[in-house]
Amino acid sequence: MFLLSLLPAFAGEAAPSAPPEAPPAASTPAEPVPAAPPPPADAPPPPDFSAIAAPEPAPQQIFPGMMNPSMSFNGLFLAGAQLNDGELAAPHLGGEAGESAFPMAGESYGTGLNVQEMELQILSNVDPYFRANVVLAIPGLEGIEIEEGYVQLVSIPATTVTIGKVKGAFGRENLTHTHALLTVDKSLVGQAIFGGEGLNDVAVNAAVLLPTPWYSEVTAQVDRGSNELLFNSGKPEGFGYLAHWKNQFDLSYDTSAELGVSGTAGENDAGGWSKVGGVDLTLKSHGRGRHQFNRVIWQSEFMFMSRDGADARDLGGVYSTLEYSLDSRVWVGARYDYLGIAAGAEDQAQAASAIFVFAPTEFSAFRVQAQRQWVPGGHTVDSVVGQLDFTIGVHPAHSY
Amino acid sequence: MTLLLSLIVASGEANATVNIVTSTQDLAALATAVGGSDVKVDYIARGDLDPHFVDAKPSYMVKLAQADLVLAVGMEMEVGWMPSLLTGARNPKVAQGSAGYLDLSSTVKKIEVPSGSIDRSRGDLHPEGNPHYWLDPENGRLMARAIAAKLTALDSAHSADYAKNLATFESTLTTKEAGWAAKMAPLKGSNVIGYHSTFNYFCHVYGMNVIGFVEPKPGIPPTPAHTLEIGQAGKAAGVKWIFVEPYKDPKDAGPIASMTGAKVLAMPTSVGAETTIKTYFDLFDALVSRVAG
Repeated sequence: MFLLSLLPAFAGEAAPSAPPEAPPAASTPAEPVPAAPPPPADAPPPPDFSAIAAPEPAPQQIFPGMMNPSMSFNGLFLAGAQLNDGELAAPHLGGEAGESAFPMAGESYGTGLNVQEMELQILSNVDPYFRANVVLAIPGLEGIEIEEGYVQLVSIPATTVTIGKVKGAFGRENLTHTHALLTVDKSLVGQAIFGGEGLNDVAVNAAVLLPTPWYSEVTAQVDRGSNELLFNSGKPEGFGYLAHWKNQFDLSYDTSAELGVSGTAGENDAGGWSKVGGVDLTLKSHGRGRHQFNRVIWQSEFMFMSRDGADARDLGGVYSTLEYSLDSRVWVGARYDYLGIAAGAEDQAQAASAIFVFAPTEFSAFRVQAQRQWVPGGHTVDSVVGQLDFTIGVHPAHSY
Repeated sequence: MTLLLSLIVASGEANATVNIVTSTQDLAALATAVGGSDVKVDYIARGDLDPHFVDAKPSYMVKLAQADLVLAVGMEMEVGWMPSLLTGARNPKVAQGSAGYLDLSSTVKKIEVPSGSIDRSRGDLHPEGNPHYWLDPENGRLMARAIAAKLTALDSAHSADYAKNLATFESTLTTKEAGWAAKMAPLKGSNVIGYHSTFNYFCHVYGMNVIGFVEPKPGIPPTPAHTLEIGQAGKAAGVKWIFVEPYKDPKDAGPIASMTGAKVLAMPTSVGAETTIKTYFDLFDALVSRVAG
């Protein structure tokens, strides 16, 4: 309302007529805009163009804040109830997600109040050549861990070189920060193969934008191979290797598709190699004009792990999420998980989740998730979890 | 494979001298008017969409990766998406602060620069002022001049063309402005309500008084209490119109219209907001005709 005091007050009136509501635009981004019409015959002479000076460029900064880095803080608070085979689960007082209630079930937050995560992100250009990003996470109520901390070389055309602790570019879920997930938790297959923290390691990678008319990016990475579930050979040469090919196509201005292929491999702690392959497919569409915020997002990922060595094992799974935004503040969604492709009965699990989200602004959201998991042995895990998500400060946009 | 090769070849076509990508269709219209046949112009945010909220689609990164010049509204209008797109584009030539990036807000006359303590409790406030400055036609002139100067700096071989195109644009604008001012003169002093602060520049230019907004705070959807408050204020002020952007729901303004007797006008905010609005002049022709007949 401060605007009211800044605008001059006038008196008087007129009586215009209201036209019919404007139709949405039908043009496409590639459509050229027609040039201005020619001047009238009595047009004044052109101005002294040489006197026009180019404006001074703004200081180089990827987000506003002058010389200070962009900083943001995100918090996720939980309140929930969990039933393990119908019995109310005990509170998980440690804060961070605990052990699964049963083998192959997802990580548990138990019953009661909890802090899922707090996260401080600091982001800035280092100099004309490098950009740095540090994400410090406080999982639960104890300790601080470096979720990500890396420097990127950004001065090479078409290529970004990243050095530091990074989320591995495997599919979509692994790259997504917890507060940017549709659901409260990660997929069963993602947790089963990579663990609750995902594929996240000290690495060197290069991501190259290919010269194609659609978005096509290839990422190659070498990391420490320290993921405890997959690699962790303990050998000096026990690196992990990762490759990712991401493609995004515009089916129209309002609808797009993304297709990715990922793979990672490394020596494991059982004398063999672990190899994981994945395919992800995402379709997104939104409306025109005032229906801009009516969105549909369908995202699915398939992952398959083959582990050699003393405890050889194959395990695959898939998850699929469907999300619909009623408007800019309310959306609903669902996720289905299947785990156990090419695995024995002892590794087979399923989960179904329903999600409701109310986001007053892009900086706060209430999320409610109801979930049932069917895990080996005929066990069930039922949960209802409410999550409060808030962000303060300058937080970079999440990946599309 | 043939299709792939043909697509790659097509992507490499670069007949135009300067490849410009703009954040909005308004800037694309101005760049085309000034650049003429010496430039190739593409844009990111279509005119019927809220430019505050644009998906940072990777396909836009491809456009920016091939750009020689990026034109932005600035004043944090694109803060939610342009930085991510520029990062993903991996094109140092158009990085913010480089010679190939032009923030046009540095060239215009701004209004409503907030004072005092600024935080998000005041809604989606822009610290540098109201960013919808392209809805003042004189700012359009300043923007066109800045674009011409930038093009001249980047492509001096065609400087004469840019100067000629700019002169043509300015001449037409001057003529058009006289016509718009004549039509709008009887409306000077009229009281209006906006949905958002989008049309404040337009109202400021033509002496209309924005007495309040459908939104209780910038970017915050209407509440019953605020609707009642603004409805009563609008009735007392004799408000004639409620201006609604193409990306806002006119139903939200319905209760206020009922209380005040004001008409809800769907007003284009940008070039491309309606199929008939293809140039910067078309935009003001549409706006003026909508309120002045």
